[in-house]
Amino acid sequence: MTARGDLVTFDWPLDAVRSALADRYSAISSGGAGIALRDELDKLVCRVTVRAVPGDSFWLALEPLRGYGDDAERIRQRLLAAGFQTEEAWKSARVALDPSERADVAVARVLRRLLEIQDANLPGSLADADVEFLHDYRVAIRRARSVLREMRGVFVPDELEPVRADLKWLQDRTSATRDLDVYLEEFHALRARAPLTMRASLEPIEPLLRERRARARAEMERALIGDRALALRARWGELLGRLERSEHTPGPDAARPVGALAGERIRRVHRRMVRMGRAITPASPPAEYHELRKRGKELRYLLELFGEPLFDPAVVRPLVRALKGLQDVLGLHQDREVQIEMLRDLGQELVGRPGGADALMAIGSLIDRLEADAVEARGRFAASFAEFASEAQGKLVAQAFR
Amino acid sequence: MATPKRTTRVIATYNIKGGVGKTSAAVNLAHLAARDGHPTLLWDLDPQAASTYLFRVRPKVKGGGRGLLRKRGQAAAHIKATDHDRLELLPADFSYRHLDLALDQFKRPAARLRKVLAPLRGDYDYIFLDCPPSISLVSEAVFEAADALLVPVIPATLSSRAYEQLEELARGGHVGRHGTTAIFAFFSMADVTRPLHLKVMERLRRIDDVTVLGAAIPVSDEVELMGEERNPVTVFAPASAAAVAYAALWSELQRRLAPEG
Repeated sequence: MTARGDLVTFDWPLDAVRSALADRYSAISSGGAGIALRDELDKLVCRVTVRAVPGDSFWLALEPLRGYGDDAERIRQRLLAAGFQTEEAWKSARVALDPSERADVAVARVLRRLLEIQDANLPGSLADADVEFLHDYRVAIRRARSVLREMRGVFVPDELEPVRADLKWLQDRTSATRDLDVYLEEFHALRARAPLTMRASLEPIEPLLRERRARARAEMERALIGDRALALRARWGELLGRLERSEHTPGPDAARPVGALAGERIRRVHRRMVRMGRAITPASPPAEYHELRKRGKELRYLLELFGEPLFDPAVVRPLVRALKGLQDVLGLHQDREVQIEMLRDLGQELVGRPGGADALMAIGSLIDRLEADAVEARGRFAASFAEFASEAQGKLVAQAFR
Repeated sequence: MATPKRTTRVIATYNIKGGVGKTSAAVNLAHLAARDGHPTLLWDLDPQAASTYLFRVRPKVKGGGRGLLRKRGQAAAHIKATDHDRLELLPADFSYRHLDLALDQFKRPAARLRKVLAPLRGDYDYIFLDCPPSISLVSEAVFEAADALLVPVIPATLSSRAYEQLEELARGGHVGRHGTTAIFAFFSMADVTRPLHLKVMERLRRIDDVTVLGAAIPVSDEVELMGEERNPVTVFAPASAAAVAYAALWSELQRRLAPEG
């Protein structure tokens, strides 16, 4: 990638994939950045999505079909041997950590990895080839912000705060586009589930969403390749470099062992979530559920980035599982609230358009169904929270993350 | 949106005779169900493995039919995705030719397939069973596992005799445990240019005890080409008479199987 994030063309490496797998699998383009891999029975066994990354290399996402895990593993090994990187390269943010090493050194390694993932997903986010690029780009930033927040004791505020503000700014620039990506996806799902008689009435919504998305994208692209984003990337890389070379001004926690610091943070966020969740009742406003979900994300990132490499997997995994169950319920609740808001908002713009009246009626009944879903999610909250916040789980957390 | 509690329908294509269009019906109807958005499973119970072949899957189940029946939750591990979204296959295995013997080792052999399917019900809207041609313990177990038997009938005298046998078995229109399995027949490989076919079709439609579905699958080159194409007709020749007939058959069947209310 050039300094301004020039677009990488998706002139993808079908031939190289083909020759790496030639003796066992056939590789056929399935349109766009997709490749279909078939075995000797001509059975589809794995779908591959190609991502171009800076430096003219290509990363591959493998999506094995159910029952073909062995083939997928064989394919993965061959592709790695042929010099490709598979999706762990940009999905997995985990790096090896040693509990006794200095927190600043460990945190620098985690943040460097996140920055690599962020960089790797920028060209694709700009090229709009696949909505997942932007998603992964945003997740990398969100994780970095979360690490900076939870591990803030490693830094001194003067160095930390400008970077945090920068990253927040960067993420905010991408939010509208991502929301509309999700809306479009959700809209297709909603339409597919709407009664046939209603589907035609919903037609005017899609062009409206697409117009909004085009506007949001244009704005986002300008920001991502603009001067501020460039300066920000340079500042951030520079701070990381200093952190890696131990040339930064150490914060109060910089020299502590990373295991102790991470354990303390995990215990704390967990405790906080338990307290917040206990205060939530079915009558609580959506904002309280949303706050708890945000805290849950923070805990999830801490567990993934620090918990798994540093602590006993037998404790971390069940906790991640219980957290995931809770986050799914909270996510469903939040998604419905957001969709309802979106539909209401669209309604106002639809009024003056052809077919607008019918669309409004259809929107009304969709909103009813979404509200019922949100109520249902609230109903499920208590059970999944109870699992997450159980006393046994709490004891385990208190013991294990030391 | 919240997923409403799933009502899974198990549909078995069955006939005492072979070569009447069972596999072709199972494969095409399962594909249509999946195409409509329903998570769908097809279990190829026939050791000849025709539907497994049509989906290009290796006819192999580790541990064979016996292993599959023995352990609860075992079936899921053997399921393969087909090339079609939402359509999955539990493949055939050569050992299924001894499935009768394997079933016979259980206390209630006829209940066994139902039990094997029970943990899968949560995952699918429709489960199709492509059954081997015979009357045996396997078919008894199929009758008990299925919500509906779908019986292809070639409108020629000999094969309609087979149908009458089935009708005897299903006196009253139902088989299976507590007689709750519905039986639907449909005409398969029908040739409307042959007076004999027309006559048999007319005669059979007048029998009260068994429901004959309206759509008839015509005898067609496309259905025969399935072996060559290794795909459902509804995939490679969606506008053919056979594909259109399967679609009509599917919508009628779906309507009849829809939960009440």
